[in-house]
Amino acid sequence: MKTDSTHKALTLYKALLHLYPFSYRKTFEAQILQTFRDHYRDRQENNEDIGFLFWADIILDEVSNILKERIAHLRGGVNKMNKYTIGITIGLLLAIIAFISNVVFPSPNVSDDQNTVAISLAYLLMFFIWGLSGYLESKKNKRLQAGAIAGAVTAVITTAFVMVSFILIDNLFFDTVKQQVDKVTAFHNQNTYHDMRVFINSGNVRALIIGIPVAGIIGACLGGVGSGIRRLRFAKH
Amino acid sequence: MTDIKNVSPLTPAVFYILLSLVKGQKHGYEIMKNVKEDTQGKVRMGNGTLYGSVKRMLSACLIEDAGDTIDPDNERRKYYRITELGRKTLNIEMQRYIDTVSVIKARNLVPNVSIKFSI
Repeated sequence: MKTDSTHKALTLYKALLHLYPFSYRKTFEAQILQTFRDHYRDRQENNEDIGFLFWADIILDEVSNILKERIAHLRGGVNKMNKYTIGITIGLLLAIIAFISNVVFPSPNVSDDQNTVAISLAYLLMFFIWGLSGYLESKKNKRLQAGAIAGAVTAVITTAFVMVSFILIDNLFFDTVKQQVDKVTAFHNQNTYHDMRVFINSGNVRALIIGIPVAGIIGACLGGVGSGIRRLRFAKH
Repeated sequence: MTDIKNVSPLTPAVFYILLSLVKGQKHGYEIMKNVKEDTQGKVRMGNGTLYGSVKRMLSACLIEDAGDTIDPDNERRKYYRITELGRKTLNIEMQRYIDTVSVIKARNLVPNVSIKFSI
């Protein structure tokens, strides 16, 4: 009877341990389970409470440590990122957002002017990430120039990903995209192009040629600022 | 090499674990029982707190893995022991406690309360 109860308790506890990051579990799971088994058996043998209060204590304690380990794991992941992986991650994220908002849930009658908050937030996120890239780079190389280069590289990768994803979306899902109010209005307000696909593609190519160098310059400035902030922060200590 | 200044002052959990290991190497449950005994049951350390602290103490070189042992009950357990840095850190922390108690006594501030808490 006691063995059966211990087995059930261990199964439940083991399930709880699955919430820890894998690396933590790999190192400590066997010992944590052994310690729990010792504790549980000891309480059973001494006829101490193994009911609600016992489990409430266990769960509260574990959840608090799981959160700490998850945060540490996340911070470790961010610290290991470099200018390339940050650019690729954010570029992919923005490309997915562009795909969802343009193809999966399109709102052809909503113009960009009505989405200023969402668009501004996306820009702010991008700028923050470019600055963060410079900040993280300065851990390896303290020169401002290195932070500026990291910011520029991240910005160029991010922008290239976004631009290329727009070119792909506009061509592969042309029937959906051509109904967007902003594109329809712009197409009707010009006389140079007679084909809408050609018009959209020429706009994309122009954005790619101008957007990438401009993003590189903004990224360099923000990366330099990020690097400078880290230098100031640690100069105080 | 970890600097003592970087790990001091210690959290209560780290302090009680070091206090337990200074008496010899121990496995997880022995440490938990020891903390309960050392504090007359006033402090209860859960498994999560224990191993979270063990992880940080290993990386700060305050304790080290003393290897696995198959105990008389046929269960395999990992033991931990205190390092020289851990011993020095504990001594500094104990001195801090002693100094604080001296101030409390000198100012006649000894409280008459009994508190139970979990860490």
